[in-house]
Parts: sequence; C-alpha cells; structure tokens
Amino acid sequence: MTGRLEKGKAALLLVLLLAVVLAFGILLGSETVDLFDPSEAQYAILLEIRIPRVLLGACVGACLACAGAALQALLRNPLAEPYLLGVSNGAALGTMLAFVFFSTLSLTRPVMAFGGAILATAAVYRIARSRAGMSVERLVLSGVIVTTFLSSIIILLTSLLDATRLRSFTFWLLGDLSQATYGGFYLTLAAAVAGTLLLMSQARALNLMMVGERDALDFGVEVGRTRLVVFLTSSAMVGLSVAASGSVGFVGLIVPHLVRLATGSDNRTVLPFSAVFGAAFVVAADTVARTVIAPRELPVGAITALIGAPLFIFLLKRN
Amino acid sequence: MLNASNITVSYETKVVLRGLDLDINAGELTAVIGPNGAGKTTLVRVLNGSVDVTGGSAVLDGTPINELARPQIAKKISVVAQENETKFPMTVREFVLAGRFAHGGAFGWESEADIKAAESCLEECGLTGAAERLMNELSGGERQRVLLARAFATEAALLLLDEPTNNLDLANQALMLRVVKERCEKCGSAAVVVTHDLNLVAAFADRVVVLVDGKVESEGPPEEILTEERISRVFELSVLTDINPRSGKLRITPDYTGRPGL
Repeated sequence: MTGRLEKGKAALLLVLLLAVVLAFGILLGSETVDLFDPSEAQYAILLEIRIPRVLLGACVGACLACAGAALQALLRNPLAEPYLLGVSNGAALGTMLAFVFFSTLSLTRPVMAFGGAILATAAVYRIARSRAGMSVERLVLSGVIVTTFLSSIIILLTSLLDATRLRSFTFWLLGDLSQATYGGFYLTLAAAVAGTLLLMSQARALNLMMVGERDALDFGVEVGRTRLVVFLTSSAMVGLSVAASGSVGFVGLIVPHLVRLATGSDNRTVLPFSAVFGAAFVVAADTVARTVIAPRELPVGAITALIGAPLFIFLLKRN
Repeated sequence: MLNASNITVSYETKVVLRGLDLDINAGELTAVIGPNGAGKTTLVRVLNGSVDVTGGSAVLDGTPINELARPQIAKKISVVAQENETKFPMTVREFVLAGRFAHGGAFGWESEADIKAAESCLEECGLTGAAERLMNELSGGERQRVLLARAFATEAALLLLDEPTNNLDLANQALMLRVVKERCEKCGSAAVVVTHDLNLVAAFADRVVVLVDGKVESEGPPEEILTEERISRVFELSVLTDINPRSGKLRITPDYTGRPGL
C-alpha cells in the first residue's frame, strides 16, 4: 500500500534527521573538539557535558512533543500544549517545592514534578469544561489563568532563594539543558519510550476523540479510560522533562503541527513522528542556544518560544 | 433485536423519559417523531447505552446493554448524530476508517479488507471518489453522507440516526433516507431515525413512534399513525393529509393560516 510505504519512508527520514542533528549537537559548541584525537579535556567535555546534554535534549523534546500531540487530540484543540496549559508550570512548581523542602532527596524532584503536572492538568480541565463542552478559547484562557497562578507561587518561592541559585533557577524556568546529567537522561529516556508507547496504544481511540467525545463513545471508545491514560502519561512525560530541564515551551505546539502538515492527522503516525521530530527539534534548538552567542548561552526555551509564539498566533487566527 | 422496557431517565429534577417501552426489529426502519423536548435524542442515547437510565432496561440480543463494554455495543449499534466540527485536517477515508475502531486492536492498522469495506460504504452513500478529500472541504450534505458511511462501515446491525436530515437540501434529505432504507432491506439491518420531517417519515418509514412528554403516545405504520387529528394535537399545528398522486404515499401539508398552539 502506497500510503504505508510513504509513511515508512518518512519515518526513515525522520530517524536520519535525528541522527544528523545529534551528531551536530555533539560536534558543535563553544569548544571545538577534535573527534579523532581529542585531548583529555575535550574528551571530558564530550563525555560529561555534551553527550548527556544532547541526549537529554532529545528525550525532553520527544516527551514534550508527543505529550502535546496527544493532549491536542484528546482536547480537540490544536492549541493545547503542555507549556500553555500550565502543565509545565505545575511540574516546575513541584520541582521547586522538592528543591526547597527536600533538597537532599533528588528523587523527590521528578515525583513532585509529576504530581504538579497532574494537578495542573486536572485544574485546567475542570475550569475549561462547561456544560456546553470545551471551546478552544476557554481552554486556552484556563491555561493562562492556571499558568499565571502557578507563576506567582513560583515567584514567591524564588524569593526564598539566594542570588546564585536565583540566577540558575531563572534560567531553568525558561528551559535549560546545561545542568544535564546521565541520571536525568535515563529517567527522561524511560519516560519518552514508555510514554510514547502508552500514548500510541490510545492512538486509534484518539483518532475518534479528535472528532468528539460523543463520537468516540458511540464508536466503542472507553472515553474515561482513554482520558485518564492520556492525562497521566502526558503529565508523567512533561513532569519528568521539566524536572530535568525546566519548562521548554512551545515544543508540543510546533512539532505536532509540522508533523500533521506533512503526514495528516492520524495519531498512529502523529504520535511517534512527533516524538522523533521533537527530539531532533530540541537538540537543534539547544545547539543554536549554546553556539549563537558563544561562549555565553541562551536558555533553549528562549529559542523554542521565539519560533512557537508566532506559530501560536497564526494557529489562533486560523481557528 | 433491541427491546427497551419501562425506561425512565431523569436529569437532576427533570424527568425526560417516563416508563417508555420500545421494540426495534430487524429489517425495519422506525421513525421517531415528536415535538421538541419530547425526549427523542435522550431515547437514542438510551438505546446505545450512553445515557444512564433511572429505571427500566434496554436489552440487546438478550443482554442488558449496560452490561456490555463500549466496543461490544459499537459492533452492534452504530450512530449518526449531529457532527462536531473537525479541528484537524482529516481525509474522508481516515474519518470512515476511524469508525472501525471496535474491530481492531489498540495498535492495529486497517487491513486491505477494512479499506475495501470503507470504499464500498462510501460508494453506497454516493461518495465514490471522495476518499482522499478533506472533511472540512465537504458540503453539508456530503459531510452528513460521510457520517452515514462511517456508521455503515461498523457493520452494525442497528443504526440510530438523530435528525440526520437537518440542514440538508431536499435531494440530500431523500438520499439519506433512501440509502438507510435500502440498507434495511438488503442487509436486514434495523434503523431508528429521529426526524421532524413527516413527509420523509411517510415516504420511508415502516413504523412510526410518536413520542410526547417522554412517553410513547402511539406507534404503528405511518398511514395509521400520521392522522390529521393526531399530528395537529401533538405538534399543536393544524395540518392537511392526503395521498400524493405520484408516489401514492401519505402527504402532510402544514396549514400555517391557523394560529400555532391551536
């Protein structure tokens, strides 16, 4: 069948793109590295700084893009995005609380980030939902309200921090991969792989949910279960990403949108393609972020927002 | 096929259906008519088990419908309801194939047979060659026919149609009902059509159920049920009925000179 063949080719291309972006991400940086004969310092830069950073970026991108794609289908809203819905801020608040109150227990950060993401998702969903259903605008507004509320608590918490920690936190809040560790990478890798697979198990149900919850129910979807699986999984993916790298915004908006433009809206392709393309996108954005004004760095979230915000306006207008 | 008995549904303090009995038989096109707020849409939701009943039960092929899982129901009962606007670009083929959800596994892709089935349903609904078009580029009539094709693609033996001809032009109204009627005759399917168009009911229905205030007021063949007296009383508007000389079917003409509400 030609359609499937074309999707196979597209998948291959995407994986190639990811490989190229990963290679560039490892090669490029403020310090030029001789790959064939690296000095000891260069070897350390590669192994301890660049490789974990690039790998973490890939996993974060995969998580955010795939979670965004799933949330959009579930909420029937092309503008739904973890960052705009306040899910990322919920996770950020969770991480900060863990950092402030349980700073010695590093494992509390991803756990509380997940908790924060879940609570924010639930709050936005409850606020946005009315008897008449959920309009695009209502959902976006609810996201804004929850984001603003959470931001104010985050700001309150930052006032408890000293100046050095404050600067690193501000960077982290905007999405920052410079603190990458292999520990964070393994955790987000697990979230990216397991999360993408779990969301893909709901892809056919989401194809119906995209049209309407009632349609989905009529055609055999256990709507409540699908909603729960998607909310929990996407919250875990966003939560673990944020715990590792802060709130990288708009990835979940840009990537699924481009994937849909190229391959159509079938979630069986949109979800895995978004994961792979999201990985490449964040690594590319981070490579730009740390090379464009080298040796100084920008937070990766600044780059993604620079692309994402205009796209959001375009999508909102078109809606 | 489907037997609903003593169905009562209430939302908070409002009772929508009160002790309703209805049997749906294979091969029959049943039309449900009644004034706004009579409980017609709720009845459709009860018949496919998507509304919780306060009392009574709907039994599908011997099993109470609330004991069946959603995919099991979807294989046997298919619905054409008011459609939501699709916010994502979707082709007609993707839309129709999504209707076969209950037939595949979670990760599954449709087989060649699934795609053929979808194509033949599209053809049946007069949409040959439309498979690659985008849903949001279709006209209202075409979209409604795609909804019907999606319902056919489930291969369910019972079709529930909630006001399928709303906002359609005359030709599309007739086409929708004709295709459903043919499906009943050819495949022995049953169809329940909620509609306000009494002339369509007279032309296509085997049986009419008149719903008033959550109860079945009367049921039977159109020519017995659609009397001037009953229609005028139920809809509170005076009508004339006669036989259409061309089709030989009952014809209902509203008389707008009388004051509505009698």
